[in-house]
Amino acid sequence: MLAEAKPRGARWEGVLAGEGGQGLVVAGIILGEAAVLEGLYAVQCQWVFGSAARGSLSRSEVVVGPEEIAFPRVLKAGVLLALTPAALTRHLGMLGPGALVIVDSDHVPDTGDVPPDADVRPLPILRTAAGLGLARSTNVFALGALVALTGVVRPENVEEALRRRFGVKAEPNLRAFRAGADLAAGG
Amino acid sequence: MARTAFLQGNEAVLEGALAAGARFYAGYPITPSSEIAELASWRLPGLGGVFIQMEDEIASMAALVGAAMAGAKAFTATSGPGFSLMQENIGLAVMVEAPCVVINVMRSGPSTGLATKPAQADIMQARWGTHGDHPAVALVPSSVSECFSLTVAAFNLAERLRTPVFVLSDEILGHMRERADIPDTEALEIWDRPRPAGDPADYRPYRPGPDGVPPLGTFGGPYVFHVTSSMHDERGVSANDAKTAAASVARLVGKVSRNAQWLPRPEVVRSGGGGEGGTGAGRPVLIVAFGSSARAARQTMLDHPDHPLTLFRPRTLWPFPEAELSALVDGHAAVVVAEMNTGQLVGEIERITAGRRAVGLAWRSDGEIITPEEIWAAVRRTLGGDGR
Repeated sequence: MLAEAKPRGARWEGVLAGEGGQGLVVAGIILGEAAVLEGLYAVQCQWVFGSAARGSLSRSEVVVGPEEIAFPRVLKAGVLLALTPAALTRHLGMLGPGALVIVDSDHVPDTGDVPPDADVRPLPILRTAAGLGLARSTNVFALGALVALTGVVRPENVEEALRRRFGVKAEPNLRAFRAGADLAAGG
Repeated sequence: MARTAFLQGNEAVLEGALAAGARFYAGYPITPSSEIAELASWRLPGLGGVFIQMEDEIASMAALVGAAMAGAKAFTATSGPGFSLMQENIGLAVMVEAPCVVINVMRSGPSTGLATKPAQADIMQARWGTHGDHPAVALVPSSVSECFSLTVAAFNLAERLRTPVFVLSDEILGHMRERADIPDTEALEIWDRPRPAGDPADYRPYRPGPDGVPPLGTFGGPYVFHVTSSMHDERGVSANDAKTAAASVARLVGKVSRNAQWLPRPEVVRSGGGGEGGTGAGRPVLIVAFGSSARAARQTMLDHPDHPLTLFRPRTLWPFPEAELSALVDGHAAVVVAEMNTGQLVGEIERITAGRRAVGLAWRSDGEIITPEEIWAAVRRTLGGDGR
């Protein structure tokens, strides 16, 4: 079942976290680009915990709203996407009340420390994307699930952002985005 | 064409520089400014411009002075450690009146400090980093849109004032992406340096024009001139006498202050019925913040909509818009300064406030962004009593 779309008047704050190399910084940028295409305001910041380009903990923060964004960083995340155990535990303190927590069910099996008021959605993101031959688009696959579960932006605007960013290479990303949404919808 | 884009602050700085006509970049890449160098290296050759990666920042600044005298709009981008190395030749640019722009994407120091984390601790270095009496012009963007517009303004001011102009960004602004409005290049007002006219034999390279700024010839052109870092007369020839020295220093400093109307104005935002005639509950507080800290201050206002708060956000940090701030002080019960250092701007604000109101400080110097809660706590602390 899909969650209710957030009311348009609210400041929406999301954290996309995983390992450097998984593409979640780019996923956050695409989400911001889609928001701007939709006529909304958006800010994206990234945080890399270490000097390694790949393998160290990485976080992309996205804030979306109907008006200019004042504070550019996430204050209380309404949504956390975590693809590794560290990506979950490190960001539990950033969760707002009743946050949506999307975790990779294979790589983040233990969600026992998540506050009880959070809505935890374990999904086999990496496995499903790999099974469809879309391992390199795992970030966009995960974004598909996040957008489907939150309704923060309209899917067609993400697809337009993907076309603009990837040009002739957009097709596997469009497939990944739709497949991620299908997984979130239980399809 | 005017466009709305999702851009990084550093990208917007580069776009602003190119739109302003910059065609010469010399620099040494350093986090968190490196995207500006990278993009300049891609874009400038296609525009007939020059990109040089220099051996260090000392040489970079020297190259800017040379390029400026050869007719180019020249710039560089750096961060704290590089800004320190540039100080000597920034003084050279001031003395020989070489128009150029230095972008400092500030990071946490001292020294190499926290190389990837933000700070606003180079603001006094921007004012007084190079030795001797000199003017300083420093612009402080607070959004990605302003990274574009204030970079354009920086080039305009550098040209028209013939002095180095700083854009003080920070790691947060430099690396964050946000919705930005980029105007049509054709619609921008672009200023160029005053140029000499008349018989080249009569050219006096340091004789001021009506604005106090001397027309600048171009090296290799018909207006031949001599450049020296030592005190010089109107001909650009060394002169040691007290009269020349007094007049030169007064003109160098005065050409900025007398043309202050060219400088970008501060933004004043009121909330909670803030300021005079306010309807909000509580005593009104004037918050002074710039750059990323001003974004936190705006959030403080949104989070406490019932308390009368006024944000005074300078777009030009140096020279500080003293008169505008001073006029607001009496309408408020207290003043709070928010800055990402241990307290640099607050001294200036205390001087301008001159004891009329209590001045509080929200500060942070650990490489993390100052938060809206910290500013709110400083508001309550500075009001004293019940904090209302």
